[in-house]
Amino acid sequence: MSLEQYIRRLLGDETMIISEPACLFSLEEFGDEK
Amino acid sequence: MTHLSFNSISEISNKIQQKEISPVELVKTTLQNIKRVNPQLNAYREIYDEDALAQAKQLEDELMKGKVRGPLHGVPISLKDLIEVEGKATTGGSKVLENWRTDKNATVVNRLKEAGAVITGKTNLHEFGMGATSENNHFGAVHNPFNLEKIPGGSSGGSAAEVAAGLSFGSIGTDAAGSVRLPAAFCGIVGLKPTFGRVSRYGTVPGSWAFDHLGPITRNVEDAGILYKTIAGYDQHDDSSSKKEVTFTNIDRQDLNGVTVGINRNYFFDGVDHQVEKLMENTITTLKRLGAKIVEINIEQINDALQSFKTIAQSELFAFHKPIWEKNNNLYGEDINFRFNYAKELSATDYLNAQRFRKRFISHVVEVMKDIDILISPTNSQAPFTIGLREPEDNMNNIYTLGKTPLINFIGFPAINIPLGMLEGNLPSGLQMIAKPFEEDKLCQIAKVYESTHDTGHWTSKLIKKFHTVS
Repeated sequence: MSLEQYIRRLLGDETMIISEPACLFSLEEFGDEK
Repeated sequence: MTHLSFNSISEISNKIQQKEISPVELVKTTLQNIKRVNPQLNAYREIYDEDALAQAKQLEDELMKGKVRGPLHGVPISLKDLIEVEGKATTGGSKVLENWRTDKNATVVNRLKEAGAVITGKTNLHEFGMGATSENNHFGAVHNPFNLEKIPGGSSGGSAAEVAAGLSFGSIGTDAAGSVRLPAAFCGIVGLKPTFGRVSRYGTVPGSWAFDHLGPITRNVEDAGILYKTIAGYDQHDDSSSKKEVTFTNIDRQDLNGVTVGINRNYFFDGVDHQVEKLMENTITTLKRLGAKIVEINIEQINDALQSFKTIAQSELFAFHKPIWEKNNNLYGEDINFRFNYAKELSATDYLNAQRFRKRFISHVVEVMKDIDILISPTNSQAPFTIGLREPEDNMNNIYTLGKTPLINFIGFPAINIPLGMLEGNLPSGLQMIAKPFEEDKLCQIAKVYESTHDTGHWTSKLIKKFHTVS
């Protein structure tokens, strides 16, 4: 099962869990492109 | 002749392709070594006997049919236990995830397997990567192969300890504040933290998404380059992943003529042990002899940057763990509870201001570094602690006491640790080289030239004698 499913099962409720990597940052000065 | 278990990836790869050793023989030998040595190091949390042998058998069959996937074909590689392998436990070094079996491979695992790497198992770590000592409250402390009473650094301590001890040919660690570079320094090997966005984090238990990086831990720079090239590149599953093309050329430079090396004494040399400082001064002399031009630079507001780093890192860690911790704080180690008690007091305002400062600080560093190729610093400020010496409440600050690494996660630039020298008590110390974003190839080329002047063969000989001389 996914990490989010496992944690919800551990907690026994439908708490919002977000485990995916997020992007709030880019090194665009160096040609980074997301 | 180099001991088989201490061959470089290129050397062992040649032996496999020349059929001097088969993937099955190599994996069997590696697994035997792990089982014999691991009780002393506690570096592996799980060993993949059957799966590794099955993988090796398949790769051997391919080899007999003339198929070679590349330099990792049949080469044993380990993974830090934050990285998912389908059907296997990924505990993150915590009781919280002890019973979780994931349904997918991390992107890096798929890339390694496609390249023919044989996964030997999962390595022990500081719980959820939150700590610089690898003293794990649930699975026991990892021991430094050079002195079993000392920490190996962390959080990827198991990876560094086992690679140094010849129990695999490389490992993939994670680094949100120095967790690849610091253990590499304390275990006398190489650790590469690539540019932010270069290596996908998909399928890795999250820590701080602003600062998490995955990178190789190996016994030399060339091996780090081989693993880096295998795992780097765009991944649609990680929205921080960069679409910029990966360029990595293996130019064998003979010297550093035309290379400008920056030194920022403010912060990077503050509070550094006199032995480390002396080794750094020797390094500067060596770099000059190799043809490099040394220039002093001045990065300002570093204390503000470190405070902002701490605010962002702890906020993001807690954002993921908060619901679990509020109901199950007994599942976490005491040191992690201290960390979360700090994090829960941080506000959205603190976080936003820290992010805004980060943007401004990076622009400043870009300007200060515009005329240099790399920046150098010690990786570690001092020798590793004795296991059990630090208090749980020291957890969050240990990385600042031990390492000069978190600032580089704050700016997202690539950095590598290479051996610097030996401290009293036969304990290795590391040199950190930092390049501009997406210049991993230049960074590795320069690191390789320095590495060639710095024979660590006698360090390896001691470890062979200690762990691989079977009476």
